[in-house]
Amino acid sequence: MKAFGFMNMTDLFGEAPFDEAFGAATNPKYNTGKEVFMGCINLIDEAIELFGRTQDPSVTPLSAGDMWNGGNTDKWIKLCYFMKARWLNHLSKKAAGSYKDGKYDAAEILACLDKAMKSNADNTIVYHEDNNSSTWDHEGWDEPVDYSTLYSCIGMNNNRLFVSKYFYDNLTNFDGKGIEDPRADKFIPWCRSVKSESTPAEVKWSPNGLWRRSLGVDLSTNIISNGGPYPSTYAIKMYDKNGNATDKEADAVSFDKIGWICDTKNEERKGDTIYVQGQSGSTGYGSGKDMLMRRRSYKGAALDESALSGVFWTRPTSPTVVGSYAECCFIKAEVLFRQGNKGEAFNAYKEGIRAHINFVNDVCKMWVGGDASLASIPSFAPMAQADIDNFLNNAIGTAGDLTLAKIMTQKQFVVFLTTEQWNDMRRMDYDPAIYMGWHKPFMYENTASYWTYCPQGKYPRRWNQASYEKDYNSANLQAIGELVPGAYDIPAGKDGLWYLSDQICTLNVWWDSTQE
Amino acid sequence: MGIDSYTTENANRLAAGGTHKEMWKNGMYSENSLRYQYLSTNLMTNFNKQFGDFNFNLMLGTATEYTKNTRNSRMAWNFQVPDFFSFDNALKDDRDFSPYNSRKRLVGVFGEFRVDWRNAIFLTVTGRNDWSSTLPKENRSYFYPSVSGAVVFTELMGDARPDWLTFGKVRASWARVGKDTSPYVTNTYLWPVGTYLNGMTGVGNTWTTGNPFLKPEITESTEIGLEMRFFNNRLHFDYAFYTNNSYNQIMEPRLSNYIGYILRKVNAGDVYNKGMELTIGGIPVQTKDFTWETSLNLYGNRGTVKNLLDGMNILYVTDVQVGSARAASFNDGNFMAISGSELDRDPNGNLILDGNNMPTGGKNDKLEIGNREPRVAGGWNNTLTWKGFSFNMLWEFRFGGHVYNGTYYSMVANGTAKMTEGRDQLTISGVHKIGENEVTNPDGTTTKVPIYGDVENFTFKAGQLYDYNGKQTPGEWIINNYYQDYYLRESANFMKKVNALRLRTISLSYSLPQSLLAKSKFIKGCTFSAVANNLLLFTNYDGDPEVAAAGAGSIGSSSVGIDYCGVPSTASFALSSCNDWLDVNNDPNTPTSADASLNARCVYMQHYSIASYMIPSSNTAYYCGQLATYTGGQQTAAMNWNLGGSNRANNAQQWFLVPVGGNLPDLYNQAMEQGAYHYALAT
Repeated sequence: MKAFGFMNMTDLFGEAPFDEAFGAATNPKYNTGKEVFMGCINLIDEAIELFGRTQDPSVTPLSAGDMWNGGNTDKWIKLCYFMKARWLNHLSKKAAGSYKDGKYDAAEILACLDKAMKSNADNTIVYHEDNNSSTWDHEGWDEPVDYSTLYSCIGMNNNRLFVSKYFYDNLTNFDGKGIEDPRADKFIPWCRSVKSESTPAEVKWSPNGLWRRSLGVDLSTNIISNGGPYPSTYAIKMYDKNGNATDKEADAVSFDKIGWICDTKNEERKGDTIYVQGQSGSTGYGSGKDMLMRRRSYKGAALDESALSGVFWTRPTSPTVVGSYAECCFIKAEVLFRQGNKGEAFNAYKEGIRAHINFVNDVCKMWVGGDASLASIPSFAPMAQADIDNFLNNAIGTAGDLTLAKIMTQKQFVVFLTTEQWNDMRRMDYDPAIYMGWHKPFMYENTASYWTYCPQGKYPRRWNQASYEKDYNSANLQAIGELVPGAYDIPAGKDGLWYLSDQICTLNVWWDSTQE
Repeated sequence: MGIDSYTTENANRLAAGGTHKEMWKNGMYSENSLRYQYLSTNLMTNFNKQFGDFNFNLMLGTATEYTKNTRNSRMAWNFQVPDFFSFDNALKDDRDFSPYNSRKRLVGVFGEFRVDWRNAIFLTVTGRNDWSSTLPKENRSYFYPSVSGAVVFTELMGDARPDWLTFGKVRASWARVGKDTSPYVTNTYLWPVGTYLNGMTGVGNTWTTGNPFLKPEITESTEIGLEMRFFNNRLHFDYAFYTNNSYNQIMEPRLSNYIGYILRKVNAGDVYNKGMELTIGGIPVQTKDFTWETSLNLYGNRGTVKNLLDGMNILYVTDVQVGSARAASFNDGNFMAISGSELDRDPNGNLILDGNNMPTGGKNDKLEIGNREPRVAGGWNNTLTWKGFSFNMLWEFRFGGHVYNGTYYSMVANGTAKMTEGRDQLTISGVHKIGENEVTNPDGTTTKVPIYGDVENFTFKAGQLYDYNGKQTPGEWIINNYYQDYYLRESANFMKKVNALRLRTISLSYSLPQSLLAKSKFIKGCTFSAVANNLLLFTNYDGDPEVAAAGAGSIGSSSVGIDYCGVPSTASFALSSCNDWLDVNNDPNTPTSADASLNARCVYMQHYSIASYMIPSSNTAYYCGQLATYTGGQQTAAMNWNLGGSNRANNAQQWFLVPVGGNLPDLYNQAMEQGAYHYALAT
């Protein structure tokens, strides 16, 4: 857990106090990104050694306190090797050599993968609950500790999740093959809807015609800068006892269902009803009657016609993936592809997609098993084996035409909504040739004021330091700047402080550089 | 021996929707009982002896203090019958009970030795040793002495004393005072036990870590003074110069989260105060029935701070913040300062504008923008007495010292301030950066110096559209945004050097003459009074500077500071310390870190470990072009690569470093000691 946490710190912030952390020091000194990275590798080696020891039966068994793997040390060892492989693969910009010297060590990565997960059964996955737990967090959010973090950060909020066209296209028409990924229905939000004449033809409907799937927002257009995607509201028209229209629910005696509208004066945005927001319902915390989110109620009764499906990752009970077999496969595919072994790389790539589809399917089965009424909603309905096979056999290419682009683009679905997704993007230098159909955001391309922080040709490479460090550990933070290559090549910030540079977020962290 | 005890009861109700806190959205009701008990014993003996012209006095004593606080809080929320505030009206899970106890014990021995010669020369030496239960055993004993002396030179003059000089005295003193801290701060405690996924029990350290190395605070003060009276006490003055320096301040600052905690009690920082005080007074008129007494008091203090923790340039004495301004002490700077932000300006003081013709800067709120300490303050008191009537009038004044007008800040931010009325038009005057000059420094390195264009005026009018961030934007939005954002970034807009004269009190009283009372056997005196406070105020401040100082949510020259005044002391020698009696510095209601089981701590850490990974994950994914968002500032900024926008950096760090990091050494060490190697997940 220490290594996992610190690796995340260096992924985000580059440098961190490591040697002096959690000790007597009042102002812990910083270590370089390399020192933190190598420290984490040492910790994971130590963990592997300790998990391999036999524990006396008289001491507390791990199962008593392990909510990740139920005390299964075999799974823990696999998780450790997976972590090590994932991290060593981050060094893909370094020269080839031994990982002990901080170099890119393909042989060691493959050796770790050999000892990592071999199937989905080996995955470390935390399954969340939605019981409106009476235990709340102690870090000031005061939220129950049972539901998933992604529900807390994204899923419970309206309007915070729309899918982009880049994402939509890769799910519905990967590599231009015209075959839909069976995960598409799970990853793209749905809403209850009624077809109208103006509904675009490409919109997908559920077999029973009750549910409509979102389209993708084209981030290369000005839609964001022009107030979109504008969130839809479910409209009803209410009448009072005299049959006159009223806005006051208390006066109403009857109502008509109107449907989804974009309640905006901006004419261009009124058609944004084609984009469905991915807000999730909740039975425990949100006291809903099922996992759907109903946006509208009338006299206390939620209207089924206003239901949103939410998406696979951001529901209260969406599992948190700590380490997966599918990701192992993709790391393997990338390493083998770099070695020119296309045949083996393709097998790993295909196995990774299959493993991920199966994992998604298992979760869908769990949800539908818990509430059979969800089975008719494509967002929850388990995938058909025929669709899975068709996709795997005909949509993802062959060993002959395998590219790094296909591997990395498909991998994004596996590591979706994790920092690892961004780690990959940085390793690949945001290359549109790698991320199929991806492009820089329109707003960034067209808004000069953003270039103050991220000049054109530069990319998001790290996070701005937390204010706690800038406020309470500033001398040590400033001091480490001497050891961060490039820290003084970007314009200095206020008072010459490197970490206050406007362009600090464009400074590569150690593993994301060619630095020794 | 003394006992002081009282009980306070209070109740609190929050209506439904009265707070943003999710769990109280349907209302909350709480009752608190606080019982305070203070027991003290004092034993003193006095020896007095006269040898010729010398008079000796020796006093020896011991004191013990025992303070006990007991608090019981009962709370209920989510009322079943809406708006009916009762414990029975909430489900069992929606109720909470929490007890709190604190005990503090102190033993002191003290002594005072006094000698005077002919009532003209005085010397006093005191010493005291305290043992406090609140400090670590090794540091719980501390000694503090004092020496003071005075010479009444008018007594020495004998017959040479001129008639107009009634009394004259010089005095000097030096004293050191030690101070302990609050109970239970040497240990790290646990949060209440919680239930996590699969019903597993989890517990972890609180975000405040105990410090087993705390030392007592020491304050040293010196004073020299001169007091003189003339014309048979008709005129007098008293002048004093003092220093009051405190070392090893015990404070609980926020520290880097990399310590594994948010707060830690530490000895850090020295506060230096020096000042002068002068009182001049007299009785200008004195007749048989009428007297006028007047007295003018002036004082000024300068407080500075040194030796704060490494890398800590600012000490925030309070968390209260309005806008970007906070009460702050600057290392090697003012103790009573205010920190805030400033807009960027060129060397001529013109605003530097951005591409939208809006001001730049103001993001750094760590600048010293003022000092709350008045240059001089004081009071002028007058008492007129005529027969049984007595009229008293007290004026108070202050010159200098900043007040930050938090009320005005909120009014501007909310658009209710007078100056935000002119919303039809806004003119901003400033310069743009048009290039850079490379200047060669004496050491051969080069520095880039920006070149600024001429000062220009830019006017935004309501009803017109302007290019703003590449969007056609209505003028009224820009004007509104200016006041809600840019104007607020200049803390100086809300600062004022305050001068004030205030009629603090007027009182009129009448005492019944003794002749009248003599008839009654039991009434010794009887006085009727009428008192009025704060009748008049003359100030250059927009409002009452005192209200601004102490009122809700405002930061002014509030007296919130570091508590540097020690316990008043008398004097010393030694007594064998009562160690057992003092060993009460463990909170009886809260288990300490050492009490947590491996498994429960592990569950707790696992919860926060994945949360701390997924919190930044929820943000970073927006850099990758797969998700779009309509709301959520952090996500929007990430989606657009507007890297000046905020992120979840603070959450991402804190959720790992505190609940996971703070427990890591304990879990690891405990597991290794027990041979529970499979808790290797602590690595």
